[in-house]
Amino acid sequence: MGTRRVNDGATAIDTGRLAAFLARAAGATRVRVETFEPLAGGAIQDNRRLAAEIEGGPSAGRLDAVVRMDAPSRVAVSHDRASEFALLRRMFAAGVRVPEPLWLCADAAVLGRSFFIMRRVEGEALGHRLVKTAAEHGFGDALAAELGEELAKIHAVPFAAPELSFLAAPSRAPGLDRVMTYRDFLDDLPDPAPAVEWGLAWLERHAQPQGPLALCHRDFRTGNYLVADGRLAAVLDWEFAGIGDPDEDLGWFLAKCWRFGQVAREAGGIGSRDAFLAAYERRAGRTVDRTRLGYWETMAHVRWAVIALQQADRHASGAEESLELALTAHVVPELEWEILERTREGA
Amino acid sequence: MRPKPSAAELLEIARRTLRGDLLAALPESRRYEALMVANAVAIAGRVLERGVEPEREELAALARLMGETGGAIPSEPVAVRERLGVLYGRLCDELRAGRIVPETDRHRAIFAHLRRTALDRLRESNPKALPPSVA
Repeated sequence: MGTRRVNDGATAIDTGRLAAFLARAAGATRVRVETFEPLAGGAIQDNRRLAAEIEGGPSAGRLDAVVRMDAPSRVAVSHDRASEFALLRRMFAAGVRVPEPLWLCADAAVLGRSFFIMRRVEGEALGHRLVKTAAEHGFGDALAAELGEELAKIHAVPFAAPELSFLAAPSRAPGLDRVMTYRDFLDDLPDPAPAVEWGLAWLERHAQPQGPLALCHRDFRTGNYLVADGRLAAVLDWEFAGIGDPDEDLGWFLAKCWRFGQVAREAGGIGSRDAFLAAYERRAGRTVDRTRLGYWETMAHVRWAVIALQQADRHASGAEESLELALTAHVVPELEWEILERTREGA
Repeated sequence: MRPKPSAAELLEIARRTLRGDLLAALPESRRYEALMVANAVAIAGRVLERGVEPEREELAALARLMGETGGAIPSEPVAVRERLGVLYGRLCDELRAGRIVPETDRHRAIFAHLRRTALDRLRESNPKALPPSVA
């Protein structure tokens, strides 16, 4: 188990400890860590590419994996690694396309923070690149349909399982529940956000009565799934999953703010709204109410504005110095404009 | 008298230098960061160019909306921000309490103010996203 020190900014990571953990977890006689390096993307979690050679045990052979660990400063509402690992296992078992979860390590002595390891899935996730390739190769509508179907599969996963007991069901109508949550988030920020509050007041007045609840991914959008050869390869980033109104996921996916410049392709900047919704409806066996959907698209802009303000504050407060976080403050005006456009009321 | 080029002009030439040869010389894996730096410089340049006036005008309009007539609008950026924070805090309280009622003049006036302000921020943060009618 060759020990190599990888420079990790403030702390040096001892890959020898990682190799020892892997050997224990995989029941191996020997593990050689070959690559352990940062993976681009993810303002919230810290993802590393891991390549290792495993000798002995049931997992013997080459390991091509991703290590997902908590970032230095964490958004309090995102699940910890243990919960996200449990979710991934549940989804993988249910046949949802996700990276195969392998091992969880809660011992901070190994990498300084808790983490889990999942098998690496080949594919493109970057939104800007994906919307371009989808347009050039003409697979946008087919991909949108695959995504609609996959989301229906997610919503059909029973959430009452004991290993998912950390998921809390909303105590009031899901729209109102979200409004209260986002107000709490805003209260933790130093500056008032009047345009966002305007949107929240509108969302409170127009809240829909509660329908059937489902396990929601809550970050199902372009940028959070992998595509290989024009096909959906895996749905990523389960850290915000929860129990809520399934239309919330549909609205988040369709919202204008997640189209990466391809505004006319309403399904995530890749395909048509109809292709996405028709496939969802077919698989879910229910008709989606378009008016309710508009409500959740407005919610999506409000939510992204709240998250963007939180991310900007992580930099501004000194918790985590980052140009990417700092610049997130400047996506807010565009969201505010959209929120106001969507909430004109006899004005 | 400060030397020319001005601060805004310096930022502009810094941004152009970065986006030119420098960007091309960077490995693919660092290009995104360089583009972020160029974007940050561009935003700072636009804000600097427009100065304190937009926020002073915003404060004057907001003070009227909140019934604060009289009292001069400060010229110090820090004081302007502080006052904006206080008044917007009060507006947010009213919004949450449901006291801004649709179909009233006040509702319309606040909506118009928030739109004007969002557009103004968009001019600085991301002018490419300005709606075609006002761009």
